[in-house]
Amino acid sequence: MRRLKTFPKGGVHPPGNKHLTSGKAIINAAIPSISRIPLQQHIGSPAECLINPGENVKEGMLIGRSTGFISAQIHSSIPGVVKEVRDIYLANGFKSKGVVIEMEGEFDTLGKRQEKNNWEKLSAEELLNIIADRGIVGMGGATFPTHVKYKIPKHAKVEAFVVNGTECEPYLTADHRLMLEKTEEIMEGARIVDKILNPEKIYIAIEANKLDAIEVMQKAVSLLNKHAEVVPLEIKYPQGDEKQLLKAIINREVPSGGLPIDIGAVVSNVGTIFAIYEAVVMGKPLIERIVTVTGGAIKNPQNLKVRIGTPIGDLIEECGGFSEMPVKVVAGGPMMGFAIYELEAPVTKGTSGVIALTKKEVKSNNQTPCLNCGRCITVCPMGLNPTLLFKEIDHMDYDSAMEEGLMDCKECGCCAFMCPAHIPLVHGMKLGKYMAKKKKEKG
Amino acid sequence: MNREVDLLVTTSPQIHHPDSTAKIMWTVVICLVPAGIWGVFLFGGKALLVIISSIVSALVTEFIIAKLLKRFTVLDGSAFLTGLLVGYNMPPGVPLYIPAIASIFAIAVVKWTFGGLGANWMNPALAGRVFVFFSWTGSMTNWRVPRFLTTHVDGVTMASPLGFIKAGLYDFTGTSPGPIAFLKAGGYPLSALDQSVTNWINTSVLNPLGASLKGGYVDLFLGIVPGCIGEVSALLLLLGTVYLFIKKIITWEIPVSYLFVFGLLIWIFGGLRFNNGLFTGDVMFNFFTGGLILGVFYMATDMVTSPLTTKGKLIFGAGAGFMTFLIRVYGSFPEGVSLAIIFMNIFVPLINKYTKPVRFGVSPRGGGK
Amino acid sequence: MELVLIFLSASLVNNFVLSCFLGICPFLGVSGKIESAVSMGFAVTFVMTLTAGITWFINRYILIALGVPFLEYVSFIIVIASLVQFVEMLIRKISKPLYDSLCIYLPLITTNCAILGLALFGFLREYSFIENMVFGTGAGIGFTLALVIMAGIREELELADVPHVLRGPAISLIIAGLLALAFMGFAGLISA
Repeated sequence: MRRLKTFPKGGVHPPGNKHLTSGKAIINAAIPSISRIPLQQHIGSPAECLINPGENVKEGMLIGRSTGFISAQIHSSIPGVVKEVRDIYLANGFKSKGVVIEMEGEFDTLGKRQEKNNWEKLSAEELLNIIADRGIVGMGGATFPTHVKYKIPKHAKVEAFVVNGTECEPYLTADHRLMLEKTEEIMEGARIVDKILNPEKIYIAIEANKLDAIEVMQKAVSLLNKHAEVVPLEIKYPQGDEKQLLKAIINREVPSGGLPIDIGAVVSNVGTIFAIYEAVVMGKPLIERIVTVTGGAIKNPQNLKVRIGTPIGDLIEECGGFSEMPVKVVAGGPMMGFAIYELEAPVTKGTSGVIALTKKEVKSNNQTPCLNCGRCITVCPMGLNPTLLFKEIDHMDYDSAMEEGLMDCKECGCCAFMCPAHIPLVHGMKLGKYMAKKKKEKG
Repeated sequence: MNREVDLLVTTSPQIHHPDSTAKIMWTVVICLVPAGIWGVFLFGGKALLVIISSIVSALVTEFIIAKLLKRFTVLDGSAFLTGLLVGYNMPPGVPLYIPAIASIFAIAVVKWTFGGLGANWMNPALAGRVFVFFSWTGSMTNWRVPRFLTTHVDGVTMASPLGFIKAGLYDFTGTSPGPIAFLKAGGYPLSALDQSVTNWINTSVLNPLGASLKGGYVDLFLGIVPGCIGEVSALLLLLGTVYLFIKKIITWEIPVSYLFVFGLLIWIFGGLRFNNGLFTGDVMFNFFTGGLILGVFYMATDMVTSPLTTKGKLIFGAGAGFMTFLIRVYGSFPEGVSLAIIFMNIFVPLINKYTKPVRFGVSPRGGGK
Repeated sequence: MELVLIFLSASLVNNFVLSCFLGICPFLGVSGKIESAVSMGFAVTFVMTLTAGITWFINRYILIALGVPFLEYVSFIIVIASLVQFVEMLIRKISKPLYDSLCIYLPLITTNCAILGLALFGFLREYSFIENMVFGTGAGIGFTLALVIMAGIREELELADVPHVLRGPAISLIIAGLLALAFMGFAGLISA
């Protein structure tokens, strides 16, 4: 068998555990009776609230307008009446102003036949406006507003557009199922992006733990009338991170502090491409996404199609509840996701999974002093020295940490995963970045 | 479903690799145990008392100092490991206060004055050994006759192979084919086991291939020679090493560079002492004597005191190999492993500072168009 | 070959700082950062080499020739003091930041027992001119080496949690002791 492509430096192999849900087709989750929709579900400035308590909203109605250059629109995911506009605590512990809607009234699109729009005659500019208008953001977890990413600077040329179906985080199978069940829609979405970006080549990146998806996509690649290929990749975390992905596929490194467009590449998650298809062809704004609800403590793990704003507790209940008391419930993947502290936290545009972990799966231990074993350095994909950075941050020497490349840290979690002393390295990095930024702003 | 659950909130990553500090330390301890049992078997119950003395003093010192600094670290296995290694580096007949003092020095001065586990930059067990070696050199070179070597007439004490050679070569003007022949000519005995195993190896494996193994190597490999309690049995130590490699507790860089540089230099220059010319050095003899196997695989690879990066580790191993060669062949001490490793330990902070990993997206060949 | 042995003996086997315990003051004072350690080491090496050369002449043509060996201390100190002044002026001209970082330790080289020791050893061992120069350079390089090693360790220790009572000179002396222990491995390598 041919050697699979991958990035050369670093990476870890956490147990995949995808078998819990990889064979299960996507099911529609129950519509929530209360939907809490934050006005900040994306990188950039929060949306401006357009609605007041007591008003009625329709499914898919615009309730938050984007503000500033990097921002996104927010739409209501259910029809109903606005109960209150207040601060909502998100899964990552931050709070955002949001709209609480109680379900009421009729659905416009659910269960009704939809008409497809003919987009072929639209210009790239018009397509980009539709994407902006429908509130599309990166669905891989980063939630960067897609229309901003696709606004290519004048001097740049897109040589490679990568459809990211890697899904390297353990437990998650949402993208996998999407590729199997919505292959043609994804291909049409890719054609839409092709019109906007006009890349020289299109790559569809899939990790080798999804052989059926690779096969299905390879058969469908002919639907893209352009040089396109499916690239099977070695199973290694964080293969799906865009910097590592581009190194593996086109063997170029995104410069430190730069973006993929600096090396002529644009990467988008498969879920985002599907959302673009729904937005342009079906006229649907981003109001739902696929979430993998899984983990050793869930009775009946499933892949669910969920409306934005659904409380996470609803999803767990729908999957049979807890088979045993979990130690943590994680929103996102286990390597970069957030441990939530209350089950009322809402599903947002970036919530790719809900994982209820047992003590056996977590494998945590007491923290001991650093052994200087060097494992963190061996596994860091960005070539950093995590133990040195952590010690400098611990001693409040943020300048040295910045010099050592603190801002290059992707917080992927490889270092902390491997550390035998169980030192909270990623926590240190996050703190260091925050303190360094604050120091810069002050002085 | 009850929505009021007690959830743990931690920063990412939310899962972890199963290894931990305690697991690593205790695994190394387990890998060392067979060699220690063999040492006690060869040298008698006194050897066991030496090991117990060093381990107990190490644990007590660790407990007391940690308590003073309001910590509790006895169970993480590192003090036990240090005590065990100190004990293994002692001659079997040594008075019991010496391993105790070595352990106390190792734990209190070399480890805790800098802040405890992970903060020390010099290998504690080796520093302890060197400290008592220079303080009580007589007791530290007082070797015992191992079991199976009953052909030796003198009685209770006997020189170690390297010590015998060092003393003998002081005014040496003749020639000799190599260290084994030198030992034989000086009346150094071989065990009956060695003769029978060597004969078997020669007749069934090597002679058909046109080669032959001289007598004496099997004794060295199995450890039927006078020496420190834990360092004599190359066989059992190597078996433990295999497990450590499987568990990825040690990696190839330091052992390979150390053994390569040391072996190469011994091969090229080792024969000069016996007035034999270049490229006649006895590499196998030097590998299996003087605690080299114990030093290379268990002490030089100690995570805390070795460099962080691959390049650094290779430099460290090569330097240690060179120093060991220098001390063994030209220095006044018979074995050079402990001193060589300590000497390289002092360079590790500098090595770490100047061998940094290559950063992604920073070098000109990688980033940009 | 003899010169190589003298060089190795002066720099490693009988290292002035770690085996003879001379020059401890700048060793503990300037070894906080690697850059200042290297600069100090080179300044001392420079002074030592020149001292070795000049004192040899003084020995041969003044002290021995005129039969006044008891003037050795006075004459050597005069030489060392003037050389140090010269080096100080040189460094201040070349690099003011370097001059500032070395501050008081530069003029203190005058009282550095290592340099006087160097001059006296040369006197005692009756080296030739070249041998004396090599001896001086070797001693300086050895001093620099000890300083740089110490600086490397101390820089790393800044990121560790040394117990409160031991911070400062205490831990430096403990480090120096352990370094001396490590350097004892060289004993007997070259019978000096």
